[in-house]
Amino acid sequence: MQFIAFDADYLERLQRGDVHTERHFAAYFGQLIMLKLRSRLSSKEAIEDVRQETFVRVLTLVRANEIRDPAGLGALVNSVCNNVLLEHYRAKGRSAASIDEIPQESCVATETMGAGAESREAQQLVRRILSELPDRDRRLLQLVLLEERDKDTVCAELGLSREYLRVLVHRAKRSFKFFYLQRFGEAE
Amino acid sequence: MDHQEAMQLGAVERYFLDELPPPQRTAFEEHFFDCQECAAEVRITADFLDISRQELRRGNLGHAAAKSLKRPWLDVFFRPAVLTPAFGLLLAVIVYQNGVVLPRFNAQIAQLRQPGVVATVSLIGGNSRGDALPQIRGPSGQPLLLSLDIPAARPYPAYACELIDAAGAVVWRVPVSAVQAQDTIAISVPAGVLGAGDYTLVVQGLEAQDRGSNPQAAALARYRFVLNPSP
Repeated sequence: MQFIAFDADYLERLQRGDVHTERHFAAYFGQLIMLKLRSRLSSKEAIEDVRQETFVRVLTLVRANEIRDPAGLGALVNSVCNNVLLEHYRAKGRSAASIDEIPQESCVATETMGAGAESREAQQLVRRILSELPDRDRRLLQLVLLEERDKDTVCAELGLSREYLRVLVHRAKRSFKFFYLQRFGEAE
Repeated sequence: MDHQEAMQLGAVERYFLDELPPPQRTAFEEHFFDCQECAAEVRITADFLDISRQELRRGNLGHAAAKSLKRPWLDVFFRPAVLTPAFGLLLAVIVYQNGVVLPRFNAQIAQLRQPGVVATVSLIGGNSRGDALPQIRGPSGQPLLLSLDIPAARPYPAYACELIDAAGAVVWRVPVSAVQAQDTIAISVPAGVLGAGDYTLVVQGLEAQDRGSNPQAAALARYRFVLNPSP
């Protein structure tokens, strides 16, 4: 997978409003912000609000030339996002000293991969991966991912350890990762 | 949290399975916003789990497994409409081979293993004008032995004997080495190769050949004979 360097050149392009760089910035960090927020906010609209506000603040800092360390751009985006999230949370009349105190919400369904041929291909691949799992492993994923049952209880019922669940997810996604890197690796 | 810690911890899977306590969760987020490798892993895992949820919701996955393991294009060959005639044809081939082909081969092999008299025709001296054509008579379906001399007027590195039928077509060609050419040579013709008719056996001298090119052939002698097999 090819990575784009967050360096002085990237920052300079972002400063002068290069469309390609701005698009990359929004896509790359937008997805990470969404993944970070979807278990902390209860609606897509709230996620979108926090995401947009984060972008506005970060780009304001970039254009004001207030970023001294280009390599720290990711850390800055995360930090700004935490602040915006806390403000959003407090604006609802609730209190939290840090994002650690914000309770976990049920994961908001969001589209990470989008539509199109790649998405259909990915669906077929995942379907095959799941189909080829032993019944017990598939049942485990169904109870945990779909029915959102308590993981400890489910693992105990099926006579499995919690470690087994983590390893199962890790192994099951390996084939998918290969596919993903082939399709999207060059575009990163 | 640094990259090594994240890897050792299995932080990506733990993050999505809600197995990280809040401080570690926050620390991992700080890390993957800063580490493109972990960010990629996070996105891949999120996509995989999201699509898995969709597919588990659609259900019928056990059935899909059974279908996915069998390649559909092979199914055609397992249909009774194809399988039954195929087995019938196979059976007929086996019966034919065992009842007809193998006994015939066995008889021919047994015949070859038995000593017997072979019809022989000597072409020695048959190159002279005015000589009567050698006639070969004998039961059809028997092997034949042709004996002849290679003319030694001019030595060649190699020779060949070419049998030409009455229509001018080459029936077969036999290479002859210079050493073999020093004596009378005998050419065995298997049974059933030649039908009744006039034949000409042409003896050729072959010039030394360049690599990759055909040798030049000079006709040294022509021996005619007539084959009249009796029924």
